[in-house]
Amino acid sequence: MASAAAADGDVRSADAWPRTHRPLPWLIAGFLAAIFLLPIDAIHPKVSLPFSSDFDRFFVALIVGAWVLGGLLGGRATVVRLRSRGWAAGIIAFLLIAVASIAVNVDRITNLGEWEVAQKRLAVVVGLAALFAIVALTLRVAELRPFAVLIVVLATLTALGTVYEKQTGNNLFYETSARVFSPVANVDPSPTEIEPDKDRGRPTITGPTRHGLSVTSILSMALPFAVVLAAIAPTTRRRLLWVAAICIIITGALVTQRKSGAVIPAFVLLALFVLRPRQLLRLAPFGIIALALALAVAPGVFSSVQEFGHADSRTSTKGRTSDYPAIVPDLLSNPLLGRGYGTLDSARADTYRILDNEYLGQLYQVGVLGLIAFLAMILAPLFLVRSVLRSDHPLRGPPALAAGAGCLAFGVASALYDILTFPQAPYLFLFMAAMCVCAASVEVPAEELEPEREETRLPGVLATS
Amino acid sequence: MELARTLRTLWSRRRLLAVGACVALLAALLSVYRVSPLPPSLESRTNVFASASTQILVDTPDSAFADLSYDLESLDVRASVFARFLASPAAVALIAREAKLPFNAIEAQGPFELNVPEVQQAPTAERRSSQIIGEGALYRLRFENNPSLPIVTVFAQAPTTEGAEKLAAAAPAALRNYIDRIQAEQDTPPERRVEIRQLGKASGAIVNKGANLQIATLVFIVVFGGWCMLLIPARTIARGWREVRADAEESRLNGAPSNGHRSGEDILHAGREHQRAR
Repeated sequence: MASAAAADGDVRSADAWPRTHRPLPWLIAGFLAAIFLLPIDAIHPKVSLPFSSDFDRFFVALIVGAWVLGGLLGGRATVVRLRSRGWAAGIIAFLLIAVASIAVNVDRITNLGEWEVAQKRLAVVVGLAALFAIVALTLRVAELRPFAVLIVVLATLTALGTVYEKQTGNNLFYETSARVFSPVANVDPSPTEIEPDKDRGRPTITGPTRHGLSVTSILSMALPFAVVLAAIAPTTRRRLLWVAAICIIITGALVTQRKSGAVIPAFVLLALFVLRPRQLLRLAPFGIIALALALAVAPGVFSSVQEFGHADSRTSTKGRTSDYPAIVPDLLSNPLLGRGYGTLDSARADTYRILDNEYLGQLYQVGVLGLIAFLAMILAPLFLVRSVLRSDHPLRGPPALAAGAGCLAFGVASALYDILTFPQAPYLFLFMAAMCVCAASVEVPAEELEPEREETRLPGVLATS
Repeated sequence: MELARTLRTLWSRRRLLAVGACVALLAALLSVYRVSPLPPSLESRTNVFASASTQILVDTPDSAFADLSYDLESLDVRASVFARFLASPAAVALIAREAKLPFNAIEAQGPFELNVPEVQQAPTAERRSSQIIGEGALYRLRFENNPSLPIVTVFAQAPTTEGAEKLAAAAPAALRNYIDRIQAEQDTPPERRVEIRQLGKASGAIVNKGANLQIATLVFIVVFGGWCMLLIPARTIARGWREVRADAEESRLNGAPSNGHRSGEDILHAGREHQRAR
């Protein structure tokens, strides 16, 4: 790995995570582990604060604090990273439009008592933007692949836990968190609703999240990393290991018995195949064998595919289509900036609908401009990383391809439910977006950049250390 | 490192930073006050509101609750009908008269079905249209009724605590007057009359006390942050402009063509070339 980095000129691979003493990459790795293994939005620390004190906010605050301290107290950097133009444009545009939509509607928002909820959701978006910026500024090219491996390992554990939840009805993520955090935090009860022996309806299997769709999304977003690592594995033994991880992750997504568990992974695999057909074809025999084994050993695992024809599924589809005419009055009354970011409070069922489509939700809350910014936020990483998507460089190409496909999975999942309501998938998406930014950047030793050139590096490319 | 560099850049432009702080302060002020030039005055925007509540008991003249022989079901049904009536324009007009407020300043909603699935509670386009029309009203009423109880709960919202309490108290008074009038017109015997009782005095309080400060702080941070973000590229653009001019001047003297500043992509490629060369 180090030799490859040297060949390309990606400097300082020796100080790359996990072989580094820099605290930020370790904190980021810890946050990734929390996303996959802890019910971060169900852990409430036992402290009284004027703002929402969920576990993830503390972790993001810790990361921001570490970054600020590192920025103020750190020594002179030895590496200058040149990033593509507008690497943060999408998230900045979305954040600005979210604030503008609240500012424009502030009279109505306060009059309807929606200020509290809008304020909380805006704080979440600020946290997401901060995390994205810090990860993009912190990650090094040589760290992309280790982080890709970490994502696959964590997703495999999540999938195994979800399968266990399906089999036994015990949610290990919630139960373990409740035991571990009991001295310092309260953990909400698990939303799992399943009785393996008697249950006849669609069970609620949520893994470490509050909704089955959320766990399906994070597993689907992690899937391309496992596929890409399998495709580039140097030995058959390693390839078999990654293929096993793929099978476990897909199984974890399917056992939630949500249509999205089949739709999103299918889109991801299709996108990967379109981008790198030759590499993906290498995995075809393994895929066929795995499919045959799955059908033979546990045919019920594909029950989410059968969901397409069920009555529950038809009701769900009817509910989605009924959203379209119902929100027309709101769209027409606030077409450009919507009703204000975060004001769609699904707890007020008599006033607002639960829109099973994040694009529709954004159109409702932040108008046409906000929807464009939201789309830009999803597509910007893919646009940035396009030059390295097909690269054969082992440190850049595969992680870029996987992260790009992960962002695409987020885009697909956004069309299937209100994805920003649950924090795990947005955090993971912005981490993958930051990976894309990093993969498309160039690292140059600081001493080799003349002071004059360092001063004149803008516009277009932002240099950081 | 980038943070330190950014702070240093901003500090070198501290006068512009001070101007930005003033602009942000002005924007924050405007977000919570309305400025009137003639005569010059600051009028607070109604970002803060108070809420009050009370309950209406639908009863018999000799209190059905104190006598086990009474069947309460008929009172439950009446309470349900009254709750719906109270949200109607006719009742709102009566409440407005009682509270001495203009009719169009009050918006009334409810009662909503609480024991049905969310899908059935979700508003249709028609209901949303009427809700949107009333969203601007500063005085708001919401009625709730449990179908198995002869009680209607009144929630009132107004810009002040006194206003909210007055509005909440106006609902039972208006209903009582209306029912009394009908009973008088119909000559209903006293023992068969419906009695409207208010359960306790309406009590209220300010709900979002810190809203003005929070809104002003948010606006200040966003405007000042935006100003700072503009300062850094502005400095770079100004430097680039000077360099382009210097390059053009140099090429004019040397007689060589030049397109001035190197673009970001050039630098990116230069970086890659540089690494390949190594």
